[in-house]
Amino acid sequence: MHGPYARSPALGSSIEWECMDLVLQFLAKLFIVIFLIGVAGSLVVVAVSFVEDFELLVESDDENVDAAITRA
Amino acid sequence: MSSGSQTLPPSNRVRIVVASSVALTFISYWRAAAIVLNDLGSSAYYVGGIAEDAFGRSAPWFILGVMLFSFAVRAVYVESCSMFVRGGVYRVVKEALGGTLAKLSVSALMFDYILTGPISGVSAGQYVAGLVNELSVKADAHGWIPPGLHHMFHGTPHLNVNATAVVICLAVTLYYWWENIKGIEESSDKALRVMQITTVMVVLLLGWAVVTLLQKGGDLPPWPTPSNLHFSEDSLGFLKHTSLARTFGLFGILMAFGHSVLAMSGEETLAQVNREIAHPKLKNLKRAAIIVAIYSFLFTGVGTLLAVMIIPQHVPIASYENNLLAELVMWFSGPLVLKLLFRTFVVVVGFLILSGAINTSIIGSNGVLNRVSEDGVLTDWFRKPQKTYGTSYRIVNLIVGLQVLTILLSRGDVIVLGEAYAFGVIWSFTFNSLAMLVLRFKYQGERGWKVPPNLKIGNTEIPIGLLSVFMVLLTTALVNLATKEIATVSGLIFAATFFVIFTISEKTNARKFKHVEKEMKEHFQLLHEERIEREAVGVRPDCTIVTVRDYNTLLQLRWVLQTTDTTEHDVVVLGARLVGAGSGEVDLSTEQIFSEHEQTLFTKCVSIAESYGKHISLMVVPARDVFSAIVQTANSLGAARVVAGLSTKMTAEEQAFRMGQAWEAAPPPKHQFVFQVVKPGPEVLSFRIGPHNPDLKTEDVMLVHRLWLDARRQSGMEDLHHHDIVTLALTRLASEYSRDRQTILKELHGTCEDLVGKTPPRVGPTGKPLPTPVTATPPTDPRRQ
Repeated sequence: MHGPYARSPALGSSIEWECMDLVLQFLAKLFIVIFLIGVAGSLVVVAVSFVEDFELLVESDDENVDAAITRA
Repeated sequence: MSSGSQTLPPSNRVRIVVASSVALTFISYWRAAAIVLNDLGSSAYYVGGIAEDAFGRSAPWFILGVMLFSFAVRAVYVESCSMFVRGGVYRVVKEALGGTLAKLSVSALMFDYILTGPISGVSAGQYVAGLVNELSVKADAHGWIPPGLHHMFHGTPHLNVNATAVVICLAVTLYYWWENIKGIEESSDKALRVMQITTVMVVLLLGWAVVTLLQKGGDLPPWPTPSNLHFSEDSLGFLKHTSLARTFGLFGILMAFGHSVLAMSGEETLAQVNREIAHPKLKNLKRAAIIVAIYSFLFTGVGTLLAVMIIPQHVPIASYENNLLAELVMWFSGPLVLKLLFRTFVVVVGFLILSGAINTSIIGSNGVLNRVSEDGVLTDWFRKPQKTYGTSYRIVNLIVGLQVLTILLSRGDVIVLGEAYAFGVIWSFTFNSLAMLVLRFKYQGERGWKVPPNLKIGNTEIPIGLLSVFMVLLTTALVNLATKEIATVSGLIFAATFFVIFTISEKTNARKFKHVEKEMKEHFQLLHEERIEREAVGVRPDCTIVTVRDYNTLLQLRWVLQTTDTTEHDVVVLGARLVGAGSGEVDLSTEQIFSEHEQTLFTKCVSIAESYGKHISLMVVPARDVFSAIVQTANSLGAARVVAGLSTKMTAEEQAFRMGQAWEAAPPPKHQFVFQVVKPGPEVLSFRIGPHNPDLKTEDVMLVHRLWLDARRQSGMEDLHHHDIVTLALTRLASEYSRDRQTILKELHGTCEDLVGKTPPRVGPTGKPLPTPVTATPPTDPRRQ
């Protein structure tokens, strides 16, 4: 494996760097799982709230204001 | 001090009624959506280029994904707004997580707002410069460029795009700085008009793009799979030296999502505009939110997708990343002239919406800082009103100063600005959703609406939807910390600086407040009333309200005290406390409204009243619109007249016009009053506000009388009165008006023209002219009018 240390000597010893890389790999996998679960749940939020709100948008209010001027 | 008829309170302190409800004017959900879209929709102009530059041609899928996800973020904001009228980040986080995290979240939000201006302005400048250069190339191809000009530029005349963008952005920012110093209204009219024009452009753009695809065909962008993601070195940020940079796999999806997240910047504006939405509030808020979400999905999401499908792959991204929509137009099918004309239209609309976003950013930041200032987080120094215009000019100066600095540092590079921008956007959303999640467990009572779905197990409700949204936001925010170097460094510095300012300021304020509180306790007795009522204020009907703002110009109060017998008629001195867009509707505390400025102002008023030996009542109300506040107070107190000084911004007639408009917009019950403007001299101009008996000309009275005489001669008309003639005439006019409005208006217009120079100008409740002045000289008693 071409260690990143070789490309970035300023980042510390190779063992430290390998450890950090492992931690990053673990975090990346963890984040992917959390993210994907979140995306799945968010899709449900989008679907349910969209249907609910769209119905609200198309339904009419009964507050029609008659602009006609009349004294009758 | 109470009115003459009132007994003094046990102490000798001056009583001041402080109303805590802000007087607001309400707007429809369409207008609310237009205001939000002016901010949110503007990102369509630059987000595609920024994302494509970061990770390649699959960017549109991620932008579409972000726009779809924005439906879920919208749901979180709707829930927060259903709990708090001002459901913005600061209030929600403070309630759930405490002051420290609230200050942190508002710092992130400020970063978002401060950068909204420069990124929008620079993008507008890039589009304008791009258009000028394109026109120049086409003109040169036709030999229309004079040789001298050609020689001067060593080829086709062209503008330096970034430098031009900086100049244009600075000019627009400074223009809006001055407008905000003057205190322009946050006009939903303007926002609606801009969005109407934008809608025409969006329909044409999407329609023409579809026609082009049908004629020429096009390839879908590469699918959003890890193998199709090609991150630039800058877009890998701190990860560029790690193995993740090469073997990112699914993690690349997260990184790309993070680079596209700025497409939904502007959702916070929904919370800011919520307090102004008309009844039924929640229903209308949800309507506005769904309009915003659908519109931005189509404009930003589908627009970017179509652009990548139509612009050929061989065209380098660098040549159009700052002009995505303009470049798209140039690849449409059709004659060149038509395409150039439409590109000009796209640029003009872009200029309108993007420069509107600059204004929204200044107003939004001003509102948020005013809001935290009202909470004692910023010292009163920041909120000191501008001498002439009464605006919180120091906050406006601070915001615009930071924006100008950002514009200059960016050197007109939209990509750099976009990199940094995402920090504020994602962290303010994350804090907001975390706070809402905490509140689900902290306050388990009913709220207006909850983000679905929610799973109930026994007595515990698990907010699955809210948790899901938070999970996406948190992971994206954390990944962005690693992949967006510029955003992380600049965002952290900025947020830390603001956090330190807030913390120091809050401590200074707390010390200072103790001192002010002590002084106030010695001199003033603050009576907190949620709503203004005559009984609570302790004044009799038909009182006179004197509006005051600047303690250096209190001529109107002197004139009223000089000419009014306060044993007969009460005088109420009213100070309207302008509160920013971030202020709440119902829950401002007394101390937030009655600041040092009000203390000085009322001390001066009391001293003037004492010099006349007359009693006055003092009152301060928070308001978003001063005229609405005055009208609502006048209605609540049953005031017979309202007296104001001459505005430095408008004429007396314009003041009366605005007062009339506010009267029309005020909810019933309402009653008429006389509005008087005291000019230096003193000269007093009086206007009647609300419906009133018209000043009939002698010949009109004679005509009514002759008609009455003639009709009265007929048998069975013994009970006919003059007012019956007027009633019949008006009924017939109204009936004819509803049938043939234009002809009647034409005739009325002719009548007005005939009267020019013969009668004094009039200003009425709808802003239409009314008799002025009713009295040319100051009346000694308002009741004699």
